[in-house]
Amino acid sequence: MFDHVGIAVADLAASERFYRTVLSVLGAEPSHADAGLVEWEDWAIRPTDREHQVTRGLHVGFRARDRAQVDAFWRVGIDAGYRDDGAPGLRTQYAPTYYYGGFLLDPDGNSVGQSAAISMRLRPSAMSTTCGSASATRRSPGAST
Amino acid sequence: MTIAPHAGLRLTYDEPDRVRLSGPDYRFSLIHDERPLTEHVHLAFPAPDDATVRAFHAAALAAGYEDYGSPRERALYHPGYYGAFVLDTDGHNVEIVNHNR
Repeated sequence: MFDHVGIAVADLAASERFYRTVLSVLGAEPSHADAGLVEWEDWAIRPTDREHQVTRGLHVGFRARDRAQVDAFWRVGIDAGYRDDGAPGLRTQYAPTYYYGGFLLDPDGNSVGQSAAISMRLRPSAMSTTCGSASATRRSPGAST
Repeated sequence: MTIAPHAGLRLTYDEPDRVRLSGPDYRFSLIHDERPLTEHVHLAFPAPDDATVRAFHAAALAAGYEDYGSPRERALYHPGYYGAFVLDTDGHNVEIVNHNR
């Protein structure tokens, strides 16, 4: 679905350490790393600059192969001193039987888990705009591909 | 929702405080709850051809979203990188790109 997703981080070295630590559990190593950008294929972190302010309040989920990998991802993060945002377990509020996730906070407070998903929080006004046109899209399935 | 058809997304959940869009193997949710707003994310969606990139950009501008980079090749990323950028209502930089690979 995404070609790539990028965030700007307050401290590139600290965030690189965090993402290297937890993503290595999923078998992902950086495909590119220099002082201006660290990329794991379609996930990129970069330092802030005049055009890029620090990303906040994002939830991003990386897909795990199985529940053991979710457990390992979370445990490695906790053991490295990162903040807990939800221990591994079923999240029946997201799906009745199959959503098993564990969550950590990255150095900038973004929530990182394993659900192959991105969530963003919007202002109520933006939300109503989005929902209104979303309903219109749903009523016209021919309009979507 | 303006760009969803151009980005291969379909609506799979639609409630006042949560909207979910799904692609082939990914989900993307927009949420309103008590937690702080999301700020300064860059999202890029894949396009199968340059025409789709242009259609995405035209549809977004026609709907009133702010231009953040018109459709053209951006060879500094790699030769053939054809992308376009708009800002969403929260200022997130949203891109659609065809790598021409």
